[in-house]
Amino acid sequence: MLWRHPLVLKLGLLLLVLLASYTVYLDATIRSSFDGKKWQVPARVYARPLELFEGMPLTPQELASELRDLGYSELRATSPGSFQRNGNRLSLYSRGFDFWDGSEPQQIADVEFRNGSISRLARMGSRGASGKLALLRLEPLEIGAIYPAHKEDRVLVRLEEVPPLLTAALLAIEDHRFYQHHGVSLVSIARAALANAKSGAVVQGGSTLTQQLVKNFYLDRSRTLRRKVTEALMSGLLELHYSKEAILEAYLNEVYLGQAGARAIHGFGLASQHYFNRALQELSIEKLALLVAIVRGPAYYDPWRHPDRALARRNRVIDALVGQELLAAEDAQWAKAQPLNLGKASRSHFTFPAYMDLVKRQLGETYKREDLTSNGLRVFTSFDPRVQRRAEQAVRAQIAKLQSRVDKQTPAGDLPAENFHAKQVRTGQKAALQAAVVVTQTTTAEVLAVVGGSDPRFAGYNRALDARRSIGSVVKPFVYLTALERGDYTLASLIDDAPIAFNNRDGSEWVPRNFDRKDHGQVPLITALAKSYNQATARLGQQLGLDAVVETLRRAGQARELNAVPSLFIGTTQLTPYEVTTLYQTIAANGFRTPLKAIRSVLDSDGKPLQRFPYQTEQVIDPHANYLLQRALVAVGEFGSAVAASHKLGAASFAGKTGTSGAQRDSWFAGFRADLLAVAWVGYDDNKTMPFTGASAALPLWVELMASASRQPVWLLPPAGIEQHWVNTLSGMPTRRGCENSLLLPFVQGSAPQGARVCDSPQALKR
Amino acid sequence: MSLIPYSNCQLRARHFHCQTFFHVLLALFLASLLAGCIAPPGSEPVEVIDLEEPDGGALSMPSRQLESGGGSAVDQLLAEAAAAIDAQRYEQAAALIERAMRINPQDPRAYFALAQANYFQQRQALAESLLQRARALAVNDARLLMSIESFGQRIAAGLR
Repeated sequence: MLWRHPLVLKLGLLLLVLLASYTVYLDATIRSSFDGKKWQVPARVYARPLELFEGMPLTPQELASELRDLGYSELRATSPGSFQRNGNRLSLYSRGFDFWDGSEPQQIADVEFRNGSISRLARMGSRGASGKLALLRLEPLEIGAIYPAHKEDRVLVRLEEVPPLLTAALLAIEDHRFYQHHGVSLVSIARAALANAKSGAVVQGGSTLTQQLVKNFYLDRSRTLRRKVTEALMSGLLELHYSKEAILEAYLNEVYLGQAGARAIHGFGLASQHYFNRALQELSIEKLALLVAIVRGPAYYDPWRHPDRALARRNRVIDALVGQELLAAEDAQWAKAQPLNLGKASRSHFTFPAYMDLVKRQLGETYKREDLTSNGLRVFTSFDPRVQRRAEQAVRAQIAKLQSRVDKQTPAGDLPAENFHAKQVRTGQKAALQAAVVVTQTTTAEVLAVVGGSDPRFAGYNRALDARRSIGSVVKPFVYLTALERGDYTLASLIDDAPIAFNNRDGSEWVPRNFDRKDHGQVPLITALAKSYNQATARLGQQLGLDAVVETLRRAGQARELNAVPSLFIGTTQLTPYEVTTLYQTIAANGFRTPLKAIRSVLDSDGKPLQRFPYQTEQVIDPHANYLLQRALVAVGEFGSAVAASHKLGAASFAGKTGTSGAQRDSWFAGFRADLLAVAWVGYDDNKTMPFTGASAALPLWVELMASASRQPVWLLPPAGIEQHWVNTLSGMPTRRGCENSLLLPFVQGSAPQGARVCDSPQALKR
Repeated sequence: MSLIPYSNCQLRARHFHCQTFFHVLLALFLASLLAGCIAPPGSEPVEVIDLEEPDGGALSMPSRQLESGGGSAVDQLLAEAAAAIDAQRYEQAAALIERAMRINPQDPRAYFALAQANYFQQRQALAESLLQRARALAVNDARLLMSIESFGQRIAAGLR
């Protein structure tokens, strides 16, 4: 007989050995990769959680908008993630969340509002019992994630967290013999073959969930016999080593369920977020059924593009549940009557590229890229969606206004045809006028919002962090601070505003001029700063010395080396808006330097604390000198270069400084109130000149931002040893309350100007 | 509440008896602060500064306290922080105090508490900076200033 032929026997034996060793090899592959299966889960980045408490300035509209962003349903507060608003009252059922300092429980709360703030906050227990609640922390809004190069994204779920109905539906429609077979189901293959033969096309797959998982995990998409054999072998091996539950859990997290741009949606956890903007645990029957329906073909059954197909297949899933007696007929009827109820199709509403850029840079200082793209870290930031939206709105509105003024001044017809900018204007392309904004909480130095360009949704050049521009008069406070710290200058000290010239190293001469081209004679220090006189400032700088001023800037937080030339005194120094924010933060925080911070803490994928970025602070400026400077910066709005802002914000309600670089290429405003500090910049990327100064472009933007986002006017706390005296702001002489040009000014004890108080009449002032 | 008995104790944070003793003092101190701050039931909510209303008073009345609300929220967080310090969970305490600071950044008690949490974590320089900050904000609160001063003296003594 042929099979007894020694050669055949040998060949058979060889084949057997080969198959056995291939199986051993596959076994090793499966075990090593399945045991140590590291799901690539991108780091998720969260905004600050909103903390509710009595007395908190917040309107019911703002709270409702925050809850909608968090995906809360708005009908009745009966399950986690829902709320109900009734005029000045809002009930909510929070979801609970794991934070660095502990877990926030799910709870039902009742919030009452009066005059723009929370007047009452109560916990609602079971049976309507209620108790006062000091504090309620909502879940944080997810504002982004850090993806690996292939953009695979998932939210891991554990089998016990998955609604039983989801797994039931999945097994009912995809593999109803899952618990009976050993990886490959001959019954299913036979049935599929029969069904396909009947209809003459592939209408049914015979693959088990295990086979589908193996396919996704280890194999390419080809349909060769060898791959089929390998798939069957591996499926058998997988079943041999692992429990049905482990295989099912892996499947639930691995299966591909859709595409969002370049981002691949893997697993039911993320699919639930993607399609419904809610957690898997919160989904009702018809939504779970839709997710299961999509498994068969995420593109073919895309519920946004092919709602009819998706709906039909969803209802088939529901029918399958009824067919296997897993769902009552009347529940199925109700579920089938539901529309698709998809969440927001576009997540662009939640994209904040400039802020995410800052977060990535700060994370990059501590973490390796693969830690961020695959370990499922949770990154908690100080990002404030409310402030960010107001900042974006202010940028859009102001840039539109300014652009229309530019367009009026440069009609397209007057420009040569080859002029690129003219072409842009004519073709109505987006303007090249740009803006950048950084907003922090005044005292904690936490970064709340960043706008990187005039189109805040566009992820490109981040001007807030990268555009080094001449800061103009924004530098002047540091010249005056150097003087005040020395102890021999007061706010009333007279500075000479006569013309002055400097010799540059190359022998050329630098002659700073005042913006109004006038000389103002002897002016009090506070007036020279408030009105931003260049000649007086340059002279003061010369008396103090370049090194001393550069040293003050360094102490205030300027880390990068500066080019120490005399023109630094009036702002030829080039800094980014972010660097300017650091400097002003120190002034606003009473002379304490605190590094700007976007990240509060990082948790690992299990919610265990990994790292905290603690609050750091150091006194670097003399508190008396810093207080005097703060007072002078308030004068900028009272009678100085930003007086226009007082109409909208209120007199003496903010402290800050305008800045305009040479030939009006840059417009700046840096300033603060008690709650917010913001730096705004407006200019062209190519350094073109603008028909605007700091006061006419960046200041209105800043004012619009503060008017909508800030709730507390500036608040200055004098250190011990400060006394207040009335002084004439033109002469620097003592005067009385109510006299012309009088202002109550702080002085370090014993340093106030001496002499008889003179109450000037307007005539006497004319010199 | 005086912290003076502590001066007999060698100030080394790892010295167990000293630390425990100090924690008790600290908890008592924070509790006494809280006792003075809890509002009677039915008290009116904090008046909120209206942005539209021109406000020129902020600077001419320099001693005016800034009301940002959140009194009981800050109290609760600081009480939780005191308990965390007591249990030597300093990082958690610091996180709780920072939450309180965000709610009311002008509350000197928060900076004082954070100084203490940092001191127990051997961050002397930061603790001293935070004490300076607390001192500056407590300029109108003589009792709190006294506590800050005596704690500052302990730190200085411990540094030597």
